[in-house]
Amino acid sequence: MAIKIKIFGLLRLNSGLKELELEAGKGTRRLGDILYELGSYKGLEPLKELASSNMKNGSPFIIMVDGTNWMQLKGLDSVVKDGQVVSIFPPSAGG
Amino acid sequence: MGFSDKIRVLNVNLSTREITREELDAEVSKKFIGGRGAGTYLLSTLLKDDVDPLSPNNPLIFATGPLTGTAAPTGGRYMALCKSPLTGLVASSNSGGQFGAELKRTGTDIISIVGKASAPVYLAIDDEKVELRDASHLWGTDTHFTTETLKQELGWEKAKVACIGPAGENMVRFACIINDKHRAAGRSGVGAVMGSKNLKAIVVKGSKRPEANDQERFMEIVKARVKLLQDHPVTGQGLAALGTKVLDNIINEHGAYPTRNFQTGVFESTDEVCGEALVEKGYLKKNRGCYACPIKCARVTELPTGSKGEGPEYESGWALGAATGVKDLIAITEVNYMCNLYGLDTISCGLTIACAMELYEKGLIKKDDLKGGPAMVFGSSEALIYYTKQTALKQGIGSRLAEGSMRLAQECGAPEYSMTVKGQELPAYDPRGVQGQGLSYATSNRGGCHVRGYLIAPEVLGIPEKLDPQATQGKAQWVKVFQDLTAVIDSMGLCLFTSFALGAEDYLAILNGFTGFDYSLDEMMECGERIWNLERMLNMRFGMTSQSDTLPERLLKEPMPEGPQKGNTVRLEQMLPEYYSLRGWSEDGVPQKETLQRLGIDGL
Ligand code: SF4
Repeated sequence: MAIKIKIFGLLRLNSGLKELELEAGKGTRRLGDILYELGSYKGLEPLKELASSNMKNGSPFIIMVDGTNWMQLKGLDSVVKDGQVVSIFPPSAGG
Repeated sequence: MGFSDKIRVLNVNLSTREITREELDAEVSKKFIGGRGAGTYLLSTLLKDDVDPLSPNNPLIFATGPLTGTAAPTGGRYMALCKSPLTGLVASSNSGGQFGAELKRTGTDIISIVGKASAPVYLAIDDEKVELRDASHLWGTDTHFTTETLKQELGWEKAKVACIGPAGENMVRFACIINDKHRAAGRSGVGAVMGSKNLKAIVVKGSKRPEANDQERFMEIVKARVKLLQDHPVTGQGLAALGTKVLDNIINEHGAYPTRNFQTGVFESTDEVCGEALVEKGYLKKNRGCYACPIKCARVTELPTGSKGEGPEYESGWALGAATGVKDLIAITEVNYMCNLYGLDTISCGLTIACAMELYEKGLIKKDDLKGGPAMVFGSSEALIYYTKQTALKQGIGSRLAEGSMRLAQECGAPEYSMTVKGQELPAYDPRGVQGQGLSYATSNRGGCHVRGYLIAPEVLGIPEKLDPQATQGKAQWVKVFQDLTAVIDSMGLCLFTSFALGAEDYLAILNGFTGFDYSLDEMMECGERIWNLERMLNMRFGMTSQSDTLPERLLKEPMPEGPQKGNTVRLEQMLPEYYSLRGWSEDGVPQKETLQRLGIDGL
């Protein structure tokens, strides 16, 4: 098993990446570390910056782990388990 | 043309062909701002309570706000108001494009139309010159043909046109008004009311540029807000690149993307039909903006079939897609174009067909009822295309679909399959996954609607801050504030999408900067509250009770079957009493006398 990453919105258009899988290491990984690693792909650089930010005022990025928003979890310190799906959206809105 | 606090109304009586002008007391603009607010005020003074929405006595009002036609960002909006043939309540449908701004440039703030023409007519306005002209030759034609033909025959190349298509003429209960070919005053059947009056179109051509009394200062205020919009990742980048359809995946991943008539909140084919797909498949040609809009969220599209047009936007793409189970982006886009040509509201059209599909699935609509049409099954693009056309033309079962899903489902003895609030079809968010949005739907003054209080912003998108979508505590207060601020923005004549980057203080600066009204923040918000209460009172005059401040049974009782929101229902009973009390309404949802007195509308 692995952690499935889904990339959406401008991040997808800029990177050409839609879905990838990351090894879960010892079965879990910190969300911030996942974002940092993803940030090394071309077009996903904003994620590296995000992973290093202090998040004092929250973040406009919309990130979900199995459909639960990371703000309802522990933000960058959320724990992602093997087999879970992380969906990543840049700041977005519509109506 | 400097700002005047006396709203300039053009009165048109189609029965007598009388055209007059009047100015409303300055107090009206001070209390109701303009646009939606002043339009509702006017409606409340003109309407008899028991008027049949499709009778000549139902007024049809086109209302611009004080900022419409100015340099304020997105300042091009107008509102079409009347009593709705779909809900029997207040209809007020907003639209962008260029029409509203051009109407303002003729020197008119509001057009108020009563009566019924004896034969099809259109209204031609060239500054002060106003004329009713024969439109018999246009009756039966689509909105694009009508728009082009009128500009040509008047020789007014730069004129802007708002018109109805065959759906409005046929008085489909959810027909819309289309302006500038691609923009819609979409909801609640305002197009059917226009059709009932034999009014095919309004053409406007104006030469007067609205300016603030201190234009230099106003421009400084404007420039600072344009910069805020440009620098914001959503309004500066996201909406231009992906349009509102950026939401398909967000709402689907959240598990609240209503699928197959709200039977579930996860659509397995979202990837095929989402905003990203529209770009990746090459259908998106470019983006476009309405008048004075730095955001430019509109989609200019072209299909491999050769068809061209604008859209689909998020709501339309969903209603014609996931709601009906159709996963063919070409068919969805084609039907979106068709709806614009016929003048049909995409949301109500898609969801009414979705309701019919469920009724067919349950055996409540029979094969014989389809009179030889394709099987009405979820996922069938053939059915979607066929029955959209039948609806607009009221042919075959289309005459039943044209009544909207509430009447259709009632007639089949199964009202529970109509996903409506107060008779109007719900938009693209399943409230089982967004509690505050559920309260917002249930209390919306025009029924199922997302643009009266867009709680998706805080509950899902984290704007202006992230709320827990499953919490009910505190949501009543959020809903109230959003409803009141939205009423202000609508009444000013600006687009709601500015609110992703601007806050109440920014609107205050723009409003005061142009009108010189010198509102405090509280006073401005009180205008919103006043407008909300006036709409509520008007609805009560029409016979509405708090009984209808509710949601379809499915959303209250059937737990979401799968996905991230699995097991959830809307816990409306935990929010509604608090909402009534915050609003200063009785336990039965009736505005208290003191509330109306405080707002200065007790006499209306
Ligand atoms: S944000 Fe979109 S809908 Fe609003 S005014 Fe601009 S282009 Fe029109």
